[in-house]
Amino acid sequence: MNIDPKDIDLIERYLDGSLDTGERYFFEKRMTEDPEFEKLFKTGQAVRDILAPAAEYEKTCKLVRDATAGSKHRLFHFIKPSYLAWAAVAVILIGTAIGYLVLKHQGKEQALPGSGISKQGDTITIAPGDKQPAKATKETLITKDGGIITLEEPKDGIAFKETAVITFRWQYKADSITHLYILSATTDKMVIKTEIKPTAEEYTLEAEKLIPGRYYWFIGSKEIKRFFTIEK
Amino acid sequence: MVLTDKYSELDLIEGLSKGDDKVIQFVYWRNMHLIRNMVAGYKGLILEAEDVLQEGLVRTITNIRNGKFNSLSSVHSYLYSICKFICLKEYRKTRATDPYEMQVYREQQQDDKYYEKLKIVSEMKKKLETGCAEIIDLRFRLLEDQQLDERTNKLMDFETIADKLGIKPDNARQRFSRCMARLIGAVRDSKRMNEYLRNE
Repeated sequence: MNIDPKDIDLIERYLDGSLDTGERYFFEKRMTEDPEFEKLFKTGQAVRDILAPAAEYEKTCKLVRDATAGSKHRLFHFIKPSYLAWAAVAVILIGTAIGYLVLKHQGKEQALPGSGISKQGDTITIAPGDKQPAKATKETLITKDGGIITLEEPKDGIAFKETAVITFRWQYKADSITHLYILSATTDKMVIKTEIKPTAEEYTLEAEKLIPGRYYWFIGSKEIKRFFTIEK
Repeated sequence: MVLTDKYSELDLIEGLSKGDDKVIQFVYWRNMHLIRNMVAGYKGLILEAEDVLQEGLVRTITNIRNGKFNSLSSVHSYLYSICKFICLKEYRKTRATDPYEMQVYREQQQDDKYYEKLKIVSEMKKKLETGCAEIIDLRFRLLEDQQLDERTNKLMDFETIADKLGIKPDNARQRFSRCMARLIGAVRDSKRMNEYLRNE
């Protein structure tokens, strides 16, 4: 059954207190005599009372939805936070163990107390005048054809800025031509290869030729090699 | 992410009342695991924990704003009770025999009628045509920038409404009455709303 807008106007004016005395009398009389009108009045009053809180409720719903947006798609939200903390600890421990094994494999675990060698991050800095680490590769290599190779500079574990000019020095006593190799310690891929004549004893690498990372260099054979690091 | 209680009770109440995003997110994620476990505990319940928690948060915020929040309990346990009620209601209106669940159910039942009525009126109003919703919003000052106390205390007069809509005050009054008649008619035809009104 449709509602007559005039009845609504009447109810609104009654609730606003804008009916005159006569209109008010007839309004209240009708309320007692007409149950349908009384029901309409109660519903109208309820709707009117609830419109503002309903708008506020809608606004709060939107607020919460926006603040927690994407929650259904968020990964790991079903996992208790403490489990995540334990998982993070486990990852760190495993990472540390792997890192240790990698360093060990690369002959980097030889920082000896009192040897003048200090270990910072993954590089070893050798104080001036100190000896090479005990487990670093050999000092001198005697090749099959009787040549002698000695690596001098840079020493093992030295760190350079990306902008530094690096001079490689060695002693090479032989008659044949050989090569200077620089390889990435991470990927083991060759980065630089340059020819070395028997009389040459140094090679200058210009600045910014190598990107930051760990490298090692050797002359002719990997049997003696030195690690160094390029930093930003 | 490990959530610790970085907010005091007072911070939480104030933050939720103001609708602070960070506080809402904190409360949401702080309780997500608990609510998930609770929902999972009701076998066959088709509600999702996220929906339960969102509705629980809306009710908590609204109750705090309306002064209904009982500060004797913490915000988290208050939210938990509301969420538990939402689950219980869906699970089986009184299948619960656990004394604690029965108590939660009784405590929240009255409040629930209020929220159900809000939902019905919101839904019905959304179904009205734009012009109708607009004039009702103006009359009851329901627009976004209006504060709740301004809305409930002051109705906008028809001269101002007419001015805003570019029509005559008499036409504004007639349009408003026509739109309210539609809204009241829709609400009156709602079976659920009738039940709530009959019981009052």
